[in-house]
Amino acid sequence: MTSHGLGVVEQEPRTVRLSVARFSRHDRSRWLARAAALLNGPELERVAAIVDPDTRAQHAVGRAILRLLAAQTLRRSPLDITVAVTDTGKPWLMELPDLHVNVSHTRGTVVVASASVGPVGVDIEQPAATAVHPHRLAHRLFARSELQTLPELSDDGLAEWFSSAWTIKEAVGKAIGVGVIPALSEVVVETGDDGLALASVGLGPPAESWTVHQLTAPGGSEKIAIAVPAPGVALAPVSVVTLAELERAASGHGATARR
Amino acid sequence: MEDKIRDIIGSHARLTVSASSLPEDADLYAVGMSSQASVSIMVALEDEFGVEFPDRMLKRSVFQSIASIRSALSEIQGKAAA
Repeated sequence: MTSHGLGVVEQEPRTVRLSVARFSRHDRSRWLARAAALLNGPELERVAAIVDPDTRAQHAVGRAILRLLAAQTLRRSPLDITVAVTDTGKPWLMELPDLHVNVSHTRGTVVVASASVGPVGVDIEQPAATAVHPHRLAHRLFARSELQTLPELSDDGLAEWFSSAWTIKEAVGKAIGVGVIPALSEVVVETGDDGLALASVGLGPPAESWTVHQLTAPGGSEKIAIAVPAPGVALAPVSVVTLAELERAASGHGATARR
Repeated sequence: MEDKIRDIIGSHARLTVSASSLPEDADLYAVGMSSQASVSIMVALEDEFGVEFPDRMLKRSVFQSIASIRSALSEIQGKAAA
């Protein structure tokens, strides 16, 4: 289920929320301009240092969404929000520290997860985005129990499995605050009745303590995983952020509450 | 070594700029390298140079630039030769 806009103001305590923004190369510069209008000097310097135009726009839009989330909850201007970064690179909202947030992006798509129940991690990946064969990567980095699944899969099935496994591992790793490579090794998945599930987490709370939501990006084919170290956390309807919403915010009318 | 590193980055990182013309200290993440691409590069480097990155090197900063990759590979090869 999706809804348009960031409108939900109060986040339910046992939910995790996902906001998604999508843009094409055609409208990338407009998204960048609208997002940049919501950022402060240091953030703009960081954006300017990013050479790749896709990455630059994605980073700016992610920061803008973080500001909008906090602004709408606190009913203040997004320009009055401070987005800080932890030692492990995770963003946090200085004016709203109990709302845990995390950002991921890939070509033209930005996702922001937020939860008040605990640290949240999110990852989005293009399907089969790796140039090295998934078999080779999995044998180098994944657990032995996971490799037993691989011979049963077709090439397409392997690419699908790999993308799903990767997003779960990276999302859990981001929630814990570890890098992607330790997460690939220490977060172990297994195939369950409903697809992939956590089997063990070597660097954090045990697998049964986690909630992991997996979905496909609205309007796209990218795999998304959201992980929270708390059981039974529901996923709120996905919020689709629009360019118009950024434009309103940039022109000073964005901190409104709409459902 | 640097040419091979650039070749591998060019074929695995899916950058919007040419790897052959990148300054050796350019931030690869800033030119579009994803986390998945960085791991792909790591494995391709291991296959190309016949080495294995030790756990302590499996971090973002090691794969952040051509210079940091070359430094890590030189260290691994130096220890292997010692």
